[in-house]
Amino acid sequence: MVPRSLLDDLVAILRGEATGALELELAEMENLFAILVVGSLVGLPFPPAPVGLSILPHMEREVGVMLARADGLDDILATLIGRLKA
Amino acid sequence: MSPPRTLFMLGKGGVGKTTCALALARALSSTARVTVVSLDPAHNLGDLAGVPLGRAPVTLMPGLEACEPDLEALSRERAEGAVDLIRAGYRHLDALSLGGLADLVQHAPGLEEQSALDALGAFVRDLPPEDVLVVDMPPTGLSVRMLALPALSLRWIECLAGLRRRIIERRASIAHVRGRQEQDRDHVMDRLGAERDGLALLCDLFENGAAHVLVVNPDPLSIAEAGRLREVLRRLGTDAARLVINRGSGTHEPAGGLADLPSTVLPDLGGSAREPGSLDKLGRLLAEELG
Repeated sequence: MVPRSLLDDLVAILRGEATGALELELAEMENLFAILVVGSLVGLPFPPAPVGLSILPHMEREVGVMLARADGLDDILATLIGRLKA
Repeated sequence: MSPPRTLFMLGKGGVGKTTCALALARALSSTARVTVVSLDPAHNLGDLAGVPLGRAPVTLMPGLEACEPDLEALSRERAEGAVDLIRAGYRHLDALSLGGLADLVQHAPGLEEQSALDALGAFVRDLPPEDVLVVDMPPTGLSVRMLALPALSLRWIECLAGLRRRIIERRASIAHVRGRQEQDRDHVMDRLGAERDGLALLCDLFENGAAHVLVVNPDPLSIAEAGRLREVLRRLGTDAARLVINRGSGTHEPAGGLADLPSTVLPDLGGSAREPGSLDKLGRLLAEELG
């Protein structure tokens, strides 16, 4: 008899695998969204400051993704290959 | 609801926009309820009216209210409001230094223009369509950026909203597979929608609903600047409704780019132009053409 908790863990793992590519794409989009809003800092075309200022208070998640992406730039190839292998 | 009938007085600094705005507002107030708003950081309307003016409208005479919002104070409030929200929402990002951010943000490009638009938008939303709104605009540089900002911001908002929709869809897909409950509301999308509504109202007002009056003196510099303002209006898909030649001689021929505009010549009343009788004389001349 397989314990129920083991089955639950297995289902959670399978669901995680199933959404892995989507989550990677989502993180990239969230990163892009944050870069677009504050992109003037790195010389990208940027929206008028009042537009950025209006939505920036609600972008904690995206700014977190952007900072994490900036932190992990050295490791981005490994992240991609790891995702492809999975 | 339809916006109030709106007239913008545009032109180079010092040509008499404020005088024309107040004179016209006084004249029109005999037949309609009029609000005259000065968005010029020079703050001359209160001096001209002889009444201290601020953000809240003050009654100058029956049927006529005036106000002069302080754009610097409005920019400061907008910046501080955003920084307070960031401080509350970004509590997990301790590394993000917020000290002095409001001081920096307050002077960010576009914030003064947006503050002027916010002040204008409040009147456009709140005044009934039978009222008249006369707007004493800032000097050309700030006016041009103010006129162009709603259309530019709207293009950006459409771009950001498109990307945001895709983000929301992906989040919902992932949450569905994982059996999680995703947040019903997306605050970023809500903010983008609110900004879009306000800006669309102003875009429509600038392009379709308002009369743009170019005020010049009979000198080449102010006429050349009015010509450039007219080019901006045309790029926005609209045009000037009338040329007002303030302190004119009555025989002045406007320069090439403005020659086809209907014009009104106001006499030079010298130092007495600020007196109520003189303002009413100028106002009657303007109201005959613009009323």
